[in-house]
Amino acid sequence: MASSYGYPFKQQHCLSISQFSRPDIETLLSLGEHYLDLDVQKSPDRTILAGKTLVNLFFENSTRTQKSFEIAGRRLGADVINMSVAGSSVKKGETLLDTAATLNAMNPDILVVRHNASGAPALLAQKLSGSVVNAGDGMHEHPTQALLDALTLRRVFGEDLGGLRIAICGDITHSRVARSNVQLLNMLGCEVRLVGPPTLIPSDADRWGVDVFHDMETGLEGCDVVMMLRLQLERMSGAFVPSKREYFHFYGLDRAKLTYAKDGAKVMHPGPMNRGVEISSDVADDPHLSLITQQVESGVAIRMGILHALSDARDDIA
Amino acid sequence: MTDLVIKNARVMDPESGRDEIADIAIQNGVITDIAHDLDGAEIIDAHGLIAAPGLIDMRVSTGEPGTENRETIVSAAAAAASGGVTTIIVTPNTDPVIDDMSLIDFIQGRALETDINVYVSGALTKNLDGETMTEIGLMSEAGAVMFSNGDMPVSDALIMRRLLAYSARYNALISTRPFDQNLSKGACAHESDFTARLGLIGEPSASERITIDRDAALTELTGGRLLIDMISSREGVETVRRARKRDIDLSCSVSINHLALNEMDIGDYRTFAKLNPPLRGGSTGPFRSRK
Repeated sequence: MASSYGYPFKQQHCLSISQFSRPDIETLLSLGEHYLDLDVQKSPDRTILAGKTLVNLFFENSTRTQKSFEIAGRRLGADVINMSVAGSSVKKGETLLDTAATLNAMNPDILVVRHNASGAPALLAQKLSGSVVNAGDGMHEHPTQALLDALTLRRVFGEDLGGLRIAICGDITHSRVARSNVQLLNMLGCEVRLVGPPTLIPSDADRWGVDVFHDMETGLEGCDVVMMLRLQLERMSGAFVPSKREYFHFYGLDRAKLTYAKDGAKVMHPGPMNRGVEISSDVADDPHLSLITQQVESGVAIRMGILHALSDARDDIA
Repeated sequence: MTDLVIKNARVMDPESGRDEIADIAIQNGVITDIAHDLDGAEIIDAHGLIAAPGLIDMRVSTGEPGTENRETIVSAAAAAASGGVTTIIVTPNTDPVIDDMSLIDFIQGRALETDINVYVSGALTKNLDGETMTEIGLMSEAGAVMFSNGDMPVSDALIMRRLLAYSARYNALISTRPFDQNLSKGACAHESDFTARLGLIGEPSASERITIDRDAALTELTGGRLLIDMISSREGVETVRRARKRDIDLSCSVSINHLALNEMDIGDYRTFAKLNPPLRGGSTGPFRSRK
C-alpha cells in the first residue's frame, strides 16, 4: 500500500480535497510525480490495474478530464468503459440512483463521475461498491484538478510550495476548481487570494482562509502564480458582468495586468480557455509564462497516481 | 480698486450660514470680499435679490440625444444658468438611452459648448430594461458620475442585488425610483379617501416604503451606494432614516413639488398635479414629517 510519513493511504474514494489528510495528499502527489516520468507512465508493464474495470460516467461535457482518466486507466492496465450520457438511459429519464444501481450490478472497480449537481458523486459513493472519483460536481469540487495543479506547481517551484502567493482570478462563485484549489493550496501552506468582481465571488469567501480582492492591481501584487478561471458565456451578458469587453478590461489577464504580479510570475488555467475574455492569447501561449500545457501533462500523471492509490487501498481491505 | 461690486444683494450661503444684505467684491472673476459699503470700478445694484453659490440639479432630463427639436444640452444649460443652476447631471433616459461609454463621451463633448458644469448619469441597465447590467466600470472610467435607472425601479431583487454588488467595486453611486410596479400599476395619485372619491387609481405609500426597505437591505448586504430617487411619503423618509442609523450608504432625493404641494392640489382634476411619484396626503408629505 502507498503511504507517506508512515501513514498508509486508506481512502476508498476521491470525492473532495477536504476528505484527505496532508499525508494522503503527499502520497497522491508523490505517486503523480512517479508517473510524470514518461518511461514509467508508458511502461508496457500494465499490471497495477490489470483485470479492473474503470467506468467514466460523464453527465457534463469534458475533453481533458475524461480523456486523461481514460488514458490513465489504460496505461495502468484497466479495462476502460466510457459511458456517454447522451446515448444512455439517463436521456430516457433514468434517475441518478437507478443508473447507480444498474452500474453497480456490473461491478465496476472504479467509477469516475462528472455531474452538474453538487454532491452527486458523494451520493453515488454511498450506493456503489466500487471506488468513486469525483471528476467535477456542480459548483462543489474538482479534486483531481487541484491535485494536478499542485503537481504542476511542484515541477516549477520544487517540493515545498509553502509561502507561495497564488491569486485565483475570475468566476469563483461557479467554480469547483477554485473551491478545491483553495483547500489544497491552503493545506500546502500557500497564501491564497481570490480576485474577481463582487458578483462572481461568494459573499463570505473571506472566511475560506483567503484574501478577497475586487481589482487585479492590488490582487496580483507580489503573486508568484496567477490562476485564471473560465468565465462561462452565459454569465457575461449582463447577469453577472455587463459584457466581455468590460470583463476583459478589468479582469482579463494580459501582459499589462501581469506586471502587477511578481517578476517571472507563472500563469495557469484549468481550460477550456475563452481567449480574449479572461486571458489574452499572447499570455496563454507564452511558454515562459504559461503552465497550461504542463497542467494537462500533469493531469494524466496525477490521475494515474490517484487510481493507483485508490486501487491499492481497496485491495488492502478486500 | 475692485473690478466689480454687487451691491445690496441678499447673500445666502448655507455652507457658512450666511444670510444678510451685503456687497460682494469681485476681482479677476473671484469673490474677494463680502462686506458693506464696498466700491468698485463697475457696480451692479442687486436691489435685495439673492446671490448664492450656483445650484446643482442632479436630475435633468434633456431632449438630447433624441428630441433635439424640444431641447438640446446647450439650451438646457442656458435655461439652468438663468435659474441660478450652474451644475447639472443629465439623466440617461434619452433616445438612445445613455447606456454606453460612447454616449457618455458624446454628452461630455456637448457640455464643452455650455457655460455651466454638465455631468452625465449613465444608465444602470441596458436600454433601462431593468434586467441587463450596463458597463458600469467602463462608463465610470469614461466620466459617468452616477448610474440611474431613469423613471423605473429595478423590480427584480436578484438583479438589484447584483447591480449593487457590481457597482460597489467601482464605488459607483446608483439611483433607482422607489416603487413596486405591481402595487403602483395604473396609479396617478396617492391612495387616500380623497383620491378614491375622485375615482383615481392611487399608489399606497407602502409601495414606496417596501421598495426602500428591500433596497436598503440589499445595499447593506452588498456594500453598495444607493440614492433613493425622488421620495414622496413620510413612511419612505422614516425607512431611509432607519437604514441610515444602521450605517447603510443610503440617501434620498426629493422634488420641490413634493415639499411644497400635496394631493389636494389635484383639486378638480388638475392634470398637472398628477405626478410620479404622486403628491401625498396633506399630513404625509416628507417635508411635514420633519421633526
